[in-house]
Formats: sequence, structure tokens, C-alpha cells
Amino acid sequence: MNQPDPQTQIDNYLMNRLSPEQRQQFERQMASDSELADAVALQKLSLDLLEAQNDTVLRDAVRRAQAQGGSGGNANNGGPRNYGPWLIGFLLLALLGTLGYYFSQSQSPVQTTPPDAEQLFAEYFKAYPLNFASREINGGDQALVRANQFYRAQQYAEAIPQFQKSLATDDKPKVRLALALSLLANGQGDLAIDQFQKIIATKDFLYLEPASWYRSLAYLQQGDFRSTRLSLQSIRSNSQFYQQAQALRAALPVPEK
Amino acid sequence: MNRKHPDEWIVAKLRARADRDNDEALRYLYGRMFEQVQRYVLQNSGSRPDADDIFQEGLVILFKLIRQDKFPAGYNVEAYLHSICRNLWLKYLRKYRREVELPDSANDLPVPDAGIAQFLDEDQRAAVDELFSQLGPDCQKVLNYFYYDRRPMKEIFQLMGYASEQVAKNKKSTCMKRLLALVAEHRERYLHLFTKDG
Repeated sequence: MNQPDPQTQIDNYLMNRLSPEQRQQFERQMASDSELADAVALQKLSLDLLEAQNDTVLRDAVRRAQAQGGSGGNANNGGPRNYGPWLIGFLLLALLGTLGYYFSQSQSPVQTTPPDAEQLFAEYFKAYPLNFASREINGGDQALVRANQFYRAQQYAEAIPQFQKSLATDDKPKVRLALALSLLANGQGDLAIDQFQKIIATKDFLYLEPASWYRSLAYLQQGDFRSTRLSLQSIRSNSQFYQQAQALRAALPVPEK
Repeated sequence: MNRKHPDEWIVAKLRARADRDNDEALRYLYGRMFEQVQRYVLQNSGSRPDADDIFQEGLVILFKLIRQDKFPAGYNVEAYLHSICRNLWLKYLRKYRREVELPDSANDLPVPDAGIAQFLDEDQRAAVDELFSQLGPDCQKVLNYFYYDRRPMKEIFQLMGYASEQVAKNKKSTCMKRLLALVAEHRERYLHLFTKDG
């Protein structure tokens, strides 16, 4: 039987198309032939790059769909070829456009001075929905139980010491995020920034995005436009907070030269 | 949409290398499935951001399985996606929240590992896009069809409009050699992409 060319052999090896015996034989060959081993390593690196590029493209497509909120189909409309939602969306847009036009005609002249930090913060800050289910609470951590109740009731001043107490016994990123958000909502942006920084440093994918967005708002609360701008820049285009971050960046006063 | 066979429609749309088709099927799955998965996560110790992340990751895995023709024939796509998300959530609970009582998973479908290696950040993406752009569009397509989508040569030659399977094989071989040469030229730089912190 003809032996496949080296390129095909490497393909078959890297794409798991060899039988266990063929695989062992190929690995023995690599162990005694450094040139072959190097060629395999180079091809593996090339295929890893190709795979990472493709995986990232898939992830971006999924994020696009998520950003659009699954507008192409739902349980009732029978699939993407149903243009009902699009038609409704179009009519709503037309209605909003018309209303917007009338309002713009009747309102006072366009504001020319940039809004101040306080105004912007009030406009962009929305309480972040966090909840600790009972099974998430370690061994009846009563501080966390109380903190959770206060947080949900938006009684942030009361929630803060409870979250701090809970964190002292068990350092969980979600509890730290809740503490940071409570500090921010309670007007203690300077303390909140430290907590957000700690969460961002952990690179925990579940909490990185809210921590980055709310850190920007914490800087804004402090009136620090420069840090706000820098922090907003770290929010990636695939983040759920990207649109708001872009809008806030555009609303910030132009930096002085 | 093929109303009688939505699974076939979803698979065909996600297998296609066309943004429009992919987006259509993904939006459809979001509309159909997100709330179910969100409910499951919320009922099992998770939060809304948890549900967002789990659904997103689950959808990427499903997408990759379909793209690579590893989606098992005969399964319902939506039930399968739900299983993937449940598996992901269980995995997360086991890893990070050991104190939490695990939900029942007896009815879950077996899900193969899609092997999501690594997502590229913006800098890494720019470097990798630059590398592949040097190959030209046809080479990129052939390599993606063969190595990522795992399509057979008899399909690739038709998709590419080549005269024969042999032409497709030669093209793939030439393109791979060019890619290897380009990667070899800056090997350290590309190796560094996968070891870079953050």
C-alpha cells in the first residue's frame, strides 16, 4: 500500500484520523525524527491560529444575535420568514420618528453646554440586578442573607456592612461586585472603584463586564472625566454595555488639550 | 424557514459560511430558547448575567458542533442546545459553587466536547486576521472548509467551483504550504498569542 505524503500524514495525525496503532507508530516516528516533530508543531500552531480565528468569528456572530435580542424568531411567530415583528418595529420607529420631530419643533433650543457629571451619572446609572439564591449562601451566612435583602430593597447603606462582613469570611467575586455596586449607589464611588478594580483583576468572565461599566460610572460620580473616558475605552464592542458606553463617551465633555 | 423540518433549516443555516444565514438562525434560536435557559439558570442558583453568559457559551458550542458536522443526526436542535447549557451550568456550579445542591441532570443528552480553544481579543484578532489576509480569499476559504468545517474534498471542489477534486486537493496543499511559511516566519510572535496573559 502507498504511504501517504508527509503533509497528509500530519493532517491525519492532527485531525485525529489515525487508528490507535497508526497514531502510536507516527508518534514513535516523531520521537526519532526531530524534523518531522518540528513540522508537526508548526502545522499544529497554524491550525490553532485558524481554529481560534474561526471560533472568535462564531462567538462574534452569537454576540450579534444576543445584542439583537433574538429578534428574528420566537415561540409564536414560526420562524425567521415571518416579517410581522419587523413590520411592527418599522411602524414603531416611524411613530417615534414622527413624535420626535414634533417634540424637537416645540422644545426649547438645543442645549449647548455639556451636562455635568452628576446629571450624566443620574442618566446612566441603573441598579444592576443581582440576587443570591438560598443555595448560593454558604452554611447559612446570615450577613449575606441580610445583605441580599437590603440590596434587593435598594437599601444600599444597610447592605454595605453586611456584604463586607460576608466577604471577610468568604471572598467571592459576586459578593464583591454587590458590595461595589452598593457603594456606588450609596454615593461612595471612591470606595467602589477599589472594589471594581479587584474584580477586574480576577478576570472572572462572569463579572468583568459589569465591573468595567460600573467602574466607569464610579469615576464619573467622582467627576473624573479623564478616568471615565479611559475606563469606557476598556469596554469591548462585544460587551452588553458597549452601546451605553459609546453613548456616555460621546456625552462626556471634550478633553482639554 | 422549513416549518416541517426546523432542525434541518437551522443546521443548514449554521453550516453555511454566510453571515446572513448564520445571523438568521442564531436570532431564531435566541428567540426560541433564551427564556427557557434563563429560567433554568435562575431556578438553579444563577443570576441573569449568569444566564446570558451560559446561553452565549452554549450557542457558540452548538454553532461549532454544527459547523464542524459533529451535530448528531436525529437530535432536536433546541433540546440539544438546552442540554449543552445545562451541562455548562452544572460544570460551573461544580467548579465554583461547591456548596450548591446540583440540579438533576439524568435526562440530559450526551454532548461531545466542541473544543473551544481560545477566543482572541482585539489585538490578537488583528494579528491573526493580518496573517490570513496574506493568503488571499480563496486560500482562506479552502483551508477553512477543510480544516475547520471538516468538509470532504468532493464537497470543497464543488463549493469552490473547481474542475475536480484533485484541483481542490492541490489548492489546499499549496495554501497550507503558504500558511506554514508565513507562520514559520514569525513563529515566536504567534506562539506568544497563545501564551499571552489576558
